[in-house]
This record gives sequence, C-alpha cells and structure tokens, in this order.
Amino acid sequence: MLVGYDIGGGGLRLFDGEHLRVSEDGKFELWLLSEAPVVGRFRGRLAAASTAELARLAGRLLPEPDALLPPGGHSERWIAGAASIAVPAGRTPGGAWGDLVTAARDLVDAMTEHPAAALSLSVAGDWRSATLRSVGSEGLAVAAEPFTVQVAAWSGYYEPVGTWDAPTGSVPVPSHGAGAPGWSVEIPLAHDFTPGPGRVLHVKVGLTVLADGGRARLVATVAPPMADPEG
Amino acid sequence: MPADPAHTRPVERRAPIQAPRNRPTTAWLRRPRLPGEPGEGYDAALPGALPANLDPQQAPLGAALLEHVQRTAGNAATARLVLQRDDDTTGADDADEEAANAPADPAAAHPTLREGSHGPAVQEMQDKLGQALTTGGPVTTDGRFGPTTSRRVRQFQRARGLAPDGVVGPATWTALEGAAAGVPAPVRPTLNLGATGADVGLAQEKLNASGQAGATLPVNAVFDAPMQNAVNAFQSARGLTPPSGAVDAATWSALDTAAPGGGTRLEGGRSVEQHVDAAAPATSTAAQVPGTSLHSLVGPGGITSGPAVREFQLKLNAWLAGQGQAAISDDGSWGPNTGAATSAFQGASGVAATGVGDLPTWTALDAVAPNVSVGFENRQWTEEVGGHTYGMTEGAGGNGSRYSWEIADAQMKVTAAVQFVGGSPPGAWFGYVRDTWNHFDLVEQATGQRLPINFEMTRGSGAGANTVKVSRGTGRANGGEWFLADTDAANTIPHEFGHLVGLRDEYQQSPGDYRAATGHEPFVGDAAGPGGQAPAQIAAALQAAMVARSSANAVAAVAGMRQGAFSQQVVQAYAALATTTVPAAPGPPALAPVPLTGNLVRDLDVALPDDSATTSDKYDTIEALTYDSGSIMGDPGRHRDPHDHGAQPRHLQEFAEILGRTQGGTWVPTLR
Repeated sequence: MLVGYDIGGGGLRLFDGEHLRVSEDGKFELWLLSEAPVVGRFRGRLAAASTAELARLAGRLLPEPDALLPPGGHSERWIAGAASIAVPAGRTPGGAWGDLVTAARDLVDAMTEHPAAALSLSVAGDWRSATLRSVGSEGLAVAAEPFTVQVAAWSGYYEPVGTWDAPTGSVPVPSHGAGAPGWSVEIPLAHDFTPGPGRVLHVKVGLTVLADGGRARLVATVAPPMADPEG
Repeated sequence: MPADPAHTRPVERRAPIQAPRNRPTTAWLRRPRLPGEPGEGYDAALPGALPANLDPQQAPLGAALLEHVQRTAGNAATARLVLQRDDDTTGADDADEEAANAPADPAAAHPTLREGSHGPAVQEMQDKLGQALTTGGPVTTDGRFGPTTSRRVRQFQRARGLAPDGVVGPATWTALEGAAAGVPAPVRPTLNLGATGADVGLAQEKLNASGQAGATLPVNAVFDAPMQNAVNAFQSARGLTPPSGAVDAATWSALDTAAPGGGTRLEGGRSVEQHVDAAAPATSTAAQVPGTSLHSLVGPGGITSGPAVREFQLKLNAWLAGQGQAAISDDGSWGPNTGAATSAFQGASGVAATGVGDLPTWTALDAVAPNVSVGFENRQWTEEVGGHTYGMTEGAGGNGSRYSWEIADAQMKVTAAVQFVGGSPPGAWFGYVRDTWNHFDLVEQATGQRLPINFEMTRGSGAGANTVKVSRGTGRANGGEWFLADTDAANTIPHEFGHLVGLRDEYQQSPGDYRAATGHEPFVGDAAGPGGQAPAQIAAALQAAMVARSSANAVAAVAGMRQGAFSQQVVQAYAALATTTVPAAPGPPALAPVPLTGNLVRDLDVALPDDSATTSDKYDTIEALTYDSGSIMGDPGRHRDPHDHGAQPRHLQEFAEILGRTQGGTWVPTLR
C-alpha cells in the first residue's frame, strides 16, 4: 500500500468513519460512511501524476509519534508503507506528513466520482419524498434491518426547529438483498416542516449493508449548507 | 402520507428557571441573619483581594472582614456583599405560600409544586413519584418540574383518584408519601464465603463505601477471601464482635447505616439500581498534568488582557497594599503600570526581573495573595477512556481547558471563552450551555448563605481562549471540534463545554476512574454472565483474540455481556492469566508487537486493530468491560440513569472549593 487513512475510534461510537487505501499502482478504495449524498465503497485508479506525487511525498516521511486526542476525539490514522501516524480527525499534522495528508485529502473528492458499491440519496424539490439508489457496478447487499429516515429542520443559521423520524419499518427494505446494482426505493417524507426562505431541511437515510464479511452502517445525507452570517 | 405528529419533535427548550419571588437581584450572599449582625439591607463592598493576614477559614463575614471591606471599599474589583434575612432555600416557587397555608398534616411540610417549580423539593417529589408509579418507567430526578413531570404527576393522581391537575399540593404529597412508605424493605440474605450474586455485589459496594473494610474490593459479586477479610475488618470497626466474616442481618444493618443506598427498586414498574456514594467525594475536575501550572504567562509574549491579567493585577494590589503603596488599575489590561508593579514586586521578592507574569512571579504572588475574587485557569489534563489516553494539553494544535471565574454581581460566574475557527457558531449553542449548567447555587454549610453559580460560553481569542473547530455535518464532536448540523447539540455542546472547564469524561471508565469521577461505587449491573462460559474462559478467549489481532473474535467472546460485576470478573480473570506478547503484524498498517500487561481494557485498546468501515467490534468489546455514567459527562445515550442525569453537583465542586478558599467556609453545590 502506498498511502491510506482510517478515521474511527474515539469515545462515543458513531458511524462517521472514512477509510482509504491507495496502492503503489494508483488503485484506490475509499469508504465513506456518512455525511455525503453518495456513501459506500468507491474504487478506481489515480492519474499517474497523482500517484507519483503521493509516492514522492511518502518517501520523505520521518517517524512521528501519535498525537494526543482531545476528549472524545476520534483518530485519523495515516499509513504510508510501514509508517503511520495518528492525529485528531480533521487535523493536519506538521512537516512531511502534513504535505502527504494535504495532497491525499485533495484527491478524495475526485475519488467519490467513482462509486463501486454505493448509495445515492436525492430529495424531491418539495422535500416531501426522497429516492435512494444503488449506484456503481457492484451493488450493495442490504441487511434486513429497518431503514432510519430523519428530517431535521433548521432556521436562521443552524437554529434547530425540530426533527421528524419515519416510523420504524415504514420504509420497505429493498428485496435486492443479494446486492444486484441499480435498485431504488422511494421514501415518503411525511414531516410537517415547510422549507422556504430562512429555513433549511436536512435528510438522512441510514441502512446497514453487508460487505467484506462484515456490516457497514451507511447514512446518506442531503444537507444543504446554511449561509454563515459572518461569511 | 399525512404528517405523523408522534414522530415529529419540535425543539423543546426547557422552561427557564423562574427566580423565586423573594430573591433580590442585587444580593449574592444570603443567609439567615445572626445575632449582632447588621440588619437587613446592610450593604458593603467586598474587595477583590483578601488581605494575606485574613484567615479564610475564619468566619468570612465577621468584623475583621467587614473592617477590611470598609477600608478598601471603592476598589474597582469589588464584589457586592449583601447580608440580609432570607430563608428561601427550597428553590420552590411562589407555591411555597400555598404550602404555608395548608392544613397541618405531614404533607404540609412540603411546598406545593407545579410546572415551572424547581429545586430539591421537586427532586424529592420526583423520587417519590418514581417509586409510587407502577408503569411508564422511572421518573428523572432532575429537580425540574417540566411537562414530563407534570404528565407523570397526572398519571399518579388519576391512579389514586385525585384530581389530575398536575399540581402537587398537600393531598398529592400525602398520597406520594404513603406510597413510598408502603414500599417493603428489601430482603437481604446472609452471605458467606463462596456466595455469588447481586447481593454480594451490593455488600462489596457498601464495604468499600464505608471506608472501614481495608482495601478496596472489586465489585464483582463474588464473596472471596479478600471480601471475607473486608467483612471482618468492617465488623471489628463497628463493634460487631466477634467478627464472623459473614454478612448477616446485623452486618447488613451496619452496612446500610455506614453506606446507605444501593440495590434495586421498582420505579415506574422497572428495576432501577440505586447508587452507593463512595467513601471519597467525586473529583470530576481532571487533575493538572504534573509539571504544568494552572497559571498562564501574562504580559508581553503572553496573555495581555482578560481575567488572567486581572487576577494578576488583583494579587499585585494585595502586595502593594501591604507595602502601603497605591493600587494599580485592575482593569484586566496589561499596561505600563502593571509592568512597573510587576518589576517592583519581582525586585522585592527576589524573583528574576522579567517584567512579566511568569511562573516564578505567579508563585511568589500566590504566597502573598492566595485568594482574590477573579481567577483564570489553564488546566492541562489527561484521562483514560476505554483504555486510551485523551487529554487537553498545550501544543500540537491543542490547548488546555482555559476558563475563568469571578465572584461578583450576585453570583459566581464561570466563563470559557472560545475562538471558533472554520465557521461561526450558531447562537443556540450558547443557550444550550446555560440551559444545562445554570441550575445550581453554592450553599455555605454552616450559615446557609447562597450564591448562584452560572456558566457561560463566550467568544474570545488569543491565549485566554479555547480553540474549537466548527465543522459542517453531524460528525462525532470532541473537545476541539463541534458540528453545525448536530441534531443532538443540546446535549453535545454542554458535554464539550464541560471539557472546556476542566471536567473529565464519565464513560468507558475503569472501576477506579468511575468511582473517582462520579463519587459512586461501581454499580453491580449484570452480576451473572450471559451463560455458558466462566470468566476465565472469556478472558482466555479475549487474550487469544488479541494475539490473533481479531476484533471479531473479541466481540464474540463478550457477546451478551453488559457492564457490571460479571464483566469485572472477566477483567480479574484476565489479570490472572500469564501474559504474552502479541506478535507484530505486517499490515498495512504494520503493527508493532504488543507486550500484554494484564490490564484487559488497555491491552484491548492497543492490541486490537481499529474498527473498520464494517465493524465496531473493538468499541463494543471495550464498552462491555467498562463503566458509563448517565450524566452529561457520561454516555446518557447508552446508560440511562434517572438519578444521575444532566449536570450534577459534583461537576461544580471545584468552584465550590474555590469559593471556600476565597470567602471561607464550606460551600456545597445544590440544585437551585
């Protein structure tokens, strides 16, 4: 492996991990579990120049101790060959590690354009329904567990108005449990919030998929940002 | 599909605490007037700096202090000191008057309570209500009479044939007390060497809490030889002779006297384990890292404005007063006069003449003026959660817990300034801190004086502020990063704020850390295992899982196990195993060899690979082998506890002790 990272651990478990592996030939595999409209497994190959740049940066690394995590913090462990360093998630280490981390992070957005086995969430214009699609060539095996569907309403600048949760079991789990790609499911959003000026809705759909002999909790999220009043 | 109101949750803002009608807004110290003291309305100024020759252990409101107050009145740093007659310490609202007019019956000793009431009387009522109700689950004893409490009161009133008005007046109090009195006393079996089960765990809690049993016992629900030794020691200390080594009826009685509480009782139809207070009080505030100071460098190159500078100036003024010199301005802004006074003090004290408030100068000043009315702390600390070390220390992009306190304006105010980076904080975050934390008074035990203590998060910058990254989305918040779209921010932000004022976590704790952080004995929880396997077998399986670097095997080994006495048997059994070294693994990432130590949770943290996208096995394994509290600093999402909920008095203990050092006396945080 050329470079990779794992975000996880921490005190309070939430399913917000990220995991990346880039091999010496530029092939990558990325897992995004939440906080994006498209979540799941992404696969592809980096451009040769990007791979070469990562290799160059990985060749400059010096041993660094793991950083102390803040209370409740989760670690972001970066790996390059046999070397690794852990920093509080989202924090950029200093020195040569920082250069590598920055370069690799810059590539992640482009990687999400290559879903292999992922879920894509979209919301209708009136925010009364959502569609969850299986995207990518591999499909995802969905565990026979209820979907969770939540709508959160915000006003002003992230001032909470309330949340609505779909009744448990109200959204049928797709019968494509074996993982055939291309399925989709319509999800009614029966909240009584009214989007409009000064009010923003966020939608999260969570479900468990089976992969690599384990289970992953994916939470696809459509969350338009709210304008920062201070710019 | 029509909207389903049952699944829509508007944001509930808790009803604001209503100030008791008689509470004067200008008074900050209130107690019953003592003979010979100034009468109601006496008003004097309390200086920012107490003189070094004034013993803070002496009655702080006596003649010496008053003379000093009068002599130094006019100091810009003064706090208002008001002595007056005010017996309103119940925290109840104006319904007190109804109670005063109620017929003379046992229930009349209680104030009438209704939605909006708060304080210890509400907490007592909630406790009785939980015992009286037979369905609906426990009642949270948070001392705040909100809509949920009102609904449960109506439930009780209907069940008892009372008018379901949600008001707890004399009739409802009488019914509640009758119901509580009707609860049969628990039946306690005699316990002998070799016994197991929840009663053994309860006896272990009480033996530990008594402080008379010698070594602290693991609360593992196994009556072994060390426990028998502890029973003998306790019996000898209590005059139960000759010591029998068995927990018989007389010993249970003595244990209940020495350490009340514990065991389970039905609340709202559910079994709820009760806490046993540990022998030592909680130390919720994290200990300062050895070799570091709570003080920060003030002056050029350090903090140049704010409470740290003001604290420094007040101490300088105490020294200047002793020298018969004029005071400098204590405006919290470092200027030429502060610098000159610093140099003068350093010269007179034999401290290196740096001209700034460095650690040697602080140390010398602390000796001259230990107690002033303003303080700034840079608390650097670490903690162990789930066997891993976390902390807030200076450097490497982090900072210590930076907070200040001030005794002024009729309150003790604790402030954590935050420099938000990456985005702006929503205004709601600041309100969440107040909603959770501002429900307490500090009460002086001998005199009944009361001083509200309030917490505030403000925006700040520089070395006096904490740095918090504001991120989009709903990720996992921590002491240094908070998330804008966190729908649980009403709990998350007050928890993280707790870290900013130096409070440690209360989840995934070892028994010792749980006891220290909460002041409770580790609970008995599950006294028996999920069945089939002995603790030693599970311990061996866990060690094998570590050697194999398999979190899946580890979580399988603890399947069905929950926090409590049985899981501690596993921890003990693991400690008794021969240690070994987990071999290196090629990775990626390459994993170094791990010499196992016998500390199960720490070994699991180091030896098991981090959870992946598809597992939380490592986390779940450790969770089963540790302890959580249900307070705001614990993990209320997993560990629900109707009696240890939200902010607790123990979390404010540091500030009560500061007040005691500054004003004298023994102050205790109490629900407002």
